[in-house]
Amino acid sequence: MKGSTLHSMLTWAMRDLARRPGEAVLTGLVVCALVTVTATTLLLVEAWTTTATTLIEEGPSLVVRRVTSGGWAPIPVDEAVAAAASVVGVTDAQPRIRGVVTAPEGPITVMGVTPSQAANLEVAGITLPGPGEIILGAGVPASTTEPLLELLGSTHMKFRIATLLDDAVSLTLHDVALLNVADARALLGLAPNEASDLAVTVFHEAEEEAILPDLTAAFPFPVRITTRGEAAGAAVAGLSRDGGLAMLLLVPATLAMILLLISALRGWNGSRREIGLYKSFGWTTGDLVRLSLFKSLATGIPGVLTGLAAAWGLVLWPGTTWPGALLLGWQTPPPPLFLTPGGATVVLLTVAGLVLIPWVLASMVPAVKSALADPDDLVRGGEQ
Amino acid sequence: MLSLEPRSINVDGGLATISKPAKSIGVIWLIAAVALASVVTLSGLLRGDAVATNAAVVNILRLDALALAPSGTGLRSPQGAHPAVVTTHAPSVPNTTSARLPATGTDR
Repeated sequence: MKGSTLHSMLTWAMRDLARRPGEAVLTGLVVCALVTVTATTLLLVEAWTTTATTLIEEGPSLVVRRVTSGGWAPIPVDEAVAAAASVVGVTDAQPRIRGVVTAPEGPITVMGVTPSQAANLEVAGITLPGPGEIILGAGVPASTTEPLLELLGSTHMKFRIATLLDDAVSLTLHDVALLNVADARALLGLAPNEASDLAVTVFHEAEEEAILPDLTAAFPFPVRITTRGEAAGAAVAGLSRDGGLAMLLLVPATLAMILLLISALRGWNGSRREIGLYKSFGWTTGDLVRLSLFKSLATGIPGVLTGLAAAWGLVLWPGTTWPGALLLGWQTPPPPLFLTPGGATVVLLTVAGLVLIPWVLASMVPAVKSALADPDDLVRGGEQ
Repeated sequence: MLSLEPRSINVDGGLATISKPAKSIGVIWLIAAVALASVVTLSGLLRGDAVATNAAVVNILRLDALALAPSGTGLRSPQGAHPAVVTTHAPSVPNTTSARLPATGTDR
């Protein structure tokens, strides 16, 4: 088809749409709403998965915990670090002082911060808590008037709330309280030479699983080792459980899509006379298919683009809270999620294709069905 | 005022007169595309580099847990007093490696 003819066809299609502006706008709004619902759900799942995976990859390769017949047991720092370092492939082993204690509003995680860690954490606005001080994550409920927070671990201790962590680090320290290492040990009932567990880093990711037998045998006491792959698997499993419920939102969206397609297909009855007229004037079936294509794209593409923009804003706009609360049960402002360009593009194209392609095909059905029809029958409304 | 009733086609001026709606719809396309690009770009700019900051925190504190949600998507133990040691089988068995994932659940 020549360019001028194509342009003429395009302008004719636009003019034809302008004959029914209300119908065109409503159709565009329906497409927009469909895309918004579908893309919001899929973008949220994709963003959560990508964010969790990105962060877990920054964490330790393995976490070693000492177990006894009673369950958890503190790990002796010097002995454990030496045992881990003796295994070929281990590049780093750091003891961690952390645990879960009872706060007035419920359990929270406390973590001891060493001076060297605090120095590196200055980029995130985190300073070293002094003796008797506590730094609270954004998700830790604390009284705004009471400057002291009482925690119950192995003993009762009161801490002065030094500061609250910025929302920017809520992704990792959402409901965490940071303490001086000595205070954390005292609260958790750890001796000065004991830690909660050991974070081990291996030279290569593939060694995480392979090194397990050697690492397990290196310790003179029973240990349980969690790999980074297991941690990522647990995070994704949790999302799958909650995300599965979120997918229920797609059911009404699918129903709406089916109704939209039925509406487009039934348009054949209303447009039969017009198609007969076009064919009487010499329009070919190809012309009519192109006309339908242009018309459906003219309403569908703006609807899809606007719907994608709305979904993106709902999921990733800073401070947006309701999608997380609605879809995943988040009770506090959700952390800033992250999307890779590739993952986002796949989601956006998938949603656009899922809605736009069926809609365009359904819109072209009347023109295709008229291929073998007699124009006179079409104009008179007779049987084709 | 939008109407669902069809209007008649004005063919007096030929294609010259019917190019106006084509331009209008072109403008609508453009606005929609600009809206999508703006939302994507602005949300990225306004959010800053929060994930990089959090990744640094994870790296420095050697975290293996996420505090993403109180609904249990984090990896911390719901067991209470101490970190995630979930006794899934007799812990007296010496030198066992984890055969199961740490339980997920809320810690509050």
